[in-house]
Amino acid sequence: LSIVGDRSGWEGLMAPMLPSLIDLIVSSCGELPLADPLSREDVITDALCLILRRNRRVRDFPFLVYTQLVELDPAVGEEEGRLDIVFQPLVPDESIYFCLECKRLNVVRAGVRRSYANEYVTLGMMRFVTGKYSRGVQHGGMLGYVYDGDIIRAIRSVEKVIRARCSQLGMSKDAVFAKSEIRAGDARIRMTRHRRRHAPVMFNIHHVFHAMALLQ
Amino acid sequence: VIRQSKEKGNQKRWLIAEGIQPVGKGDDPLEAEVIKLPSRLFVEAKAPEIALFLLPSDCVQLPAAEFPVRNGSNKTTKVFRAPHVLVAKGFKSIAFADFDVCFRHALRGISGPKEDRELLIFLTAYLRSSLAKFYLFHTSSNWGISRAYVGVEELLRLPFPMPEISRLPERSWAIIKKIGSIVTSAAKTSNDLFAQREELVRDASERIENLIDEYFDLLPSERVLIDDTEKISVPSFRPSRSRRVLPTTVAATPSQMSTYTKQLCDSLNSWAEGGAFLVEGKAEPSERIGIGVVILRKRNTGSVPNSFAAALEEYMESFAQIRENVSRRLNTLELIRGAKIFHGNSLYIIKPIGQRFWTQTAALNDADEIAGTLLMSTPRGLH
Repeated sequence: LSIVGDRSGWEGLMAPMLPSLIDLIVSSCGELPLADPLSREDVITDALCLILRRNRRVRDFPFLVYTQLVELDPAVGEEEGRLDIVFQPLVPDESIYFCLECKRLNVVRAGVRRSYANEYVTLGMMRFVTGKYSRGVQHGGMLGYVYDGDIIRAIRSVEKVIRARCSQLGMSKDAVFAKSEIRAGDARIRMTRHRRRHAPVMFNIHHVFHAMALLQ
Repeated sequence: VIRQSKEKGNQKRWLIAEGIQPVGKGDDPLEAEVIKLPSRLFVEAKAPEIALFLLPSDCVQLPAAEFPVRNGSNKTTKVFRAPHVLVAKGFKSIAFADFDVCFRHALRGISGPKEDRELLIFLTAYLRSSLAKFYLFHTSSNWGISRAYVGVEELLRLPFPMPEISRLPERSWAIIKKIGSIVTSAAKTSNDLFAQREELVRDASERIENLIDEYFDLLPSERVLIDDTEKISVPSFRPSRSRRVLPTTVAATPSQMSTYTKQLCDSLNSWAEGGAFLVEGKAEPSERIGIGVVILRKRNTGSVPNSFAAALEEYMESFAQIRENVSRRLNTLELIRGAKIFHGNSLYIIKPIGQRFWTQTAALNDADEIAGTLLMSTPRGLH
């Protein structure tokens, strides 16, 4: 069917979709199998995508869930984008409603912990802020696989990098993680708001930190 | 779980093979071969009794337990051994046989060891279910295009998860046993002198259908797709002289339109649940103009329900004109079949009156499209 007319009168109707989606992601993370302490994030992301696809609740959403979706035609001079997990509406175009970028945090190798907070910010959050991901929507997601299970330490490490790069991230100087507006009581979920050059409204990144269960 | 007769040395526990091919007029009789059969019982592929279960009394007796077959015929007689499932290539006649019986190549048999009797009964029930029909109708290369025929490779692609791998293996086994007892009991009762076999099969099939849904963990929205495929889509493909009325093109009734509207609103409201708004709607047909219109309105959850008292009929001409204009303005190659027009807190959906636009499947698709459009629409002030 052709769709015409001003949709502004219908704004807000689908607002509860986002909290449901975040709940779905959090509950699916809880079903992840034990991971190898040195496994890369792609392996875990593929497993998570499989869990999401098999979840009965996903079948009630108006989305298809894809993993490692490749941006076929990136802008000139930009590297090819590989979107970790995307929720794509069932409309006849390639719109992506919600993109979830997954990164490792606090990886312990040979007794040495590496935070990977810098990668989380520069190779994750920045992709939303520059409009490389989720250009036409207002929300995106970051999923941090916290390998040592210490979520508080992981959040602090990322916050340190956020403060150092606040202007690039379109945030104020005293930028920190805010409580999630949709799940305020859950310490694993945080939120950041960003000004983007191409858009007059703020962009929200919803951060989910998941304490990984590792193989011994 | 099922191997073909040409597959060697694998551990699959069941065998699928077609029946024997008799020697035809054009065949060289010198190349014919007489093969030994495990039984003198023989059933014709077109026997109407091949429905859910087969009884020895439904079969004819061959003069001897042997049959001359043409060169190239299947010669594997294992497939005639019980317990086995008989499946016609046209996928219309499917039955479980608890006794050895032979058949021609228009039928395929799936045979397994005695201890798999209940599983094979379950397979029979599953193959006869609307779920299997739905899957095969959408995946078979012939059905819906040419004659109703399901190839053996296509049949073997049908998902058949064994109970051990389900989320609740104990419940899955209980379902299999329950279906086994329904079929066995119906077969026994049908031997009674005054038994109405068709009715027995119909009753048993209805009871089985719900159990199959549970085994495969179907959601209500998935059941809707299956029902629409079975009742609207399948009978509309390949019309014949005797079947000229196509369910897809018949005008939808006001009741179907109401069901469509309810399904559409329910889907949208399930995604809006917990929020500040909900959607309600009303549909109205105009057979004179050949369109139906649905008006959906968004309102605050606490506010008074919308009044749809004003009849849409007086606006039908305008809606038809809008639909035409929208089709022309977009100037695409596709046939524009309708329009969704957002206006304030209302959404007008204008569609042809044919039944296929008013199925519950159409409602689910339209709900997806509306949700996708709203989720991806640029917020106010953003360009």
